[in-house]
Amino acid sequence: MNIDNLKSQMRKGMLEFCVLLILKRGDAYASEMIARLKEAHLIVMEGTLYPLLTRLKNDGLLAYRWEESTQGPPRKYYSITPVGHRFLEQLQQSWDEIAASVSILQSDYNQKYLPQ
Amino acid sequence: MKKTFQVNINGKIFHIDEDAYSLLQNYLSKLREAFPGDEGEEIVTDIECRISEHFDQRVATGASAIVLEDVNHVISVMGRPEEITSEASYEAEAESASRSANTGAGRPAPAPEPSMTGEAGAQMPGAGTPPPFHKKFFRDDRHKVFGGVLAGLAQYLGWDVTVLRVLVVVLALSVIRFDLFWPFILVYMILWMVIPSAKTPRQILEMRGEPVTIDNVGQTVIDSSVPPAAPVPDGGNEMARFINNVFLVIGRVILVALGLVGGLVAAGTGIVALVIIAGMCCLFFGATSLNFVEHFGISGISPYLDGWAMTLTMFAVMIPALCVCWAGMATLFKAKGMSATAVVSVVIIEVLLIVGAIVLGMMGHGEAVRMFTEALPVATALPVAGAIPTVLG
Repeated sequence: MNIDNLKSQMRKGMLEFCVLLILKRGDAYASEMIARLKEAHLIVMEGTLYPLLTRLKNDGLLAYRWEESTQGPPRKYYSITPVGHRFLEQLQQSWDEIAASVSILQSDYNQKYLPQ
Repeated sequence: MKKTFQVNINGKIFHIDEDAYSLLQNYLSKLREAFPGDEGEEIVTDIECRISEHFDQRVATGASAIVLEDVNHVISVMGRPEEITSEASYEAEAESASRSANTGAGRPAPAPEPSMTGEAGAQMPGAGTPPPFHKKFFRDDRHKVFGGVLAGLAQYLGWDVTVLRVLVVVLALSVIRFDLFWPFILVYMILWMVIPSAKTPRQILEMRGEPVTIDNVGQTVIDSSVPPAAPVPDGGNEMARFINNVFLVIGRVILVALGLVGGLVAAGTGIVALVIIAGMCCLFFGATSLNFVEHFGISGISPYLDGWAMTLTMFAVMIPALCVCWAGMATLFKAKGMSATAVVSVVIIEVLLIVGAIVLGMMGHGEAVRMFTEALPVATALPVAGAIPTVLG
């Protein structure tokens, strides 16, 4: 089992969720999202975000609009659609379940098998 | 000193070095390959936007032109196409799974390691998987003596090119025991014609058996713009260098000899053909005193038929001889060879000449038939050599 491979698999599954989480707090353009994801140590390659955004947009979870910027060319601002909001709620729910499962197992293990 | 270009990336103008430009262009076209279709076009456009932002930062911190390091840095931050597709699970998941082993073929990858800034600190070394590649047999033009067949074969087999050359020459020259000289020459020529030479950076990497990654390709673009220096890839010791230089000199001598012999044969046959034509003209206009008829043993019954048969025979030898001369010279001076069309036309003319000579000779029943059958092996063997300039171009 390759640890890097597993890690990247885990990150992959997380990334959509996290992008939606970022956009939940307000509309953003790609570079802002990259900055946030980097703060959270979630993204390895900046390029990874773009196919993901395009896919989410094509699936109807995101929409974008062009907005003029004070410096440089206009920017693509993404926002969550109603469908995206519902999707995010479901993701949030399943994440809570996963987190709960993992923490149960962790605490269970600590109580049962580790010497007190 | 480097040439710079002006590029417009997402509405911003940048000055960019020539090598940096070609690397960037390569990167973007690789991205387009990885993300096909309208959706892919949108992705690449967005990535271009981001690249322009990165360059903008570079310019803001005082860079007057985008250099190779900047492009390498941007690529490492954005990710190579195959890394992006696998991380973003853009294509089938299985693609990334099995391919974690980096197959560098024991050769240090020529990729320059770009210095990472703190920003890219989260870079994980094992995250990228190289794309699939197959080692391919190309001719190695950059380290060739004749056609680069052995240099390419050595790369393909992973052998030392010096060892391979010595081995082949020793085997080929042991005529007395095995009689392998002509088979070797024939096989070499066929390989020369059939095997393509590695021209694009991608082909060069495939020849070496290195994974085709954007870093590698970029470096190879730069490497291959430098003219080849020696018939041996770098890393050879003094002895190998010397042996290969001897090969190179002998090779040049052989090429000059081929050129000379071809030229002489062509000139000789041409002159003989002209003499015969002139003789027939004299005969036609009634100057019977010329003794060329007896001299060439042309049958007295039908002197014209025999005369033309011999003339055609002469041309049939002359054309391949010219081709050999040209082939030798073109290889020697690295000139462009014949086009495929030219070779086809030469072969057609050659066939017509041979058929014509046979028909006329049979009709004339004369000496020409004997002469022709003597010249035939030469006339048929030479077009093979004559076709070689095609593959040079």
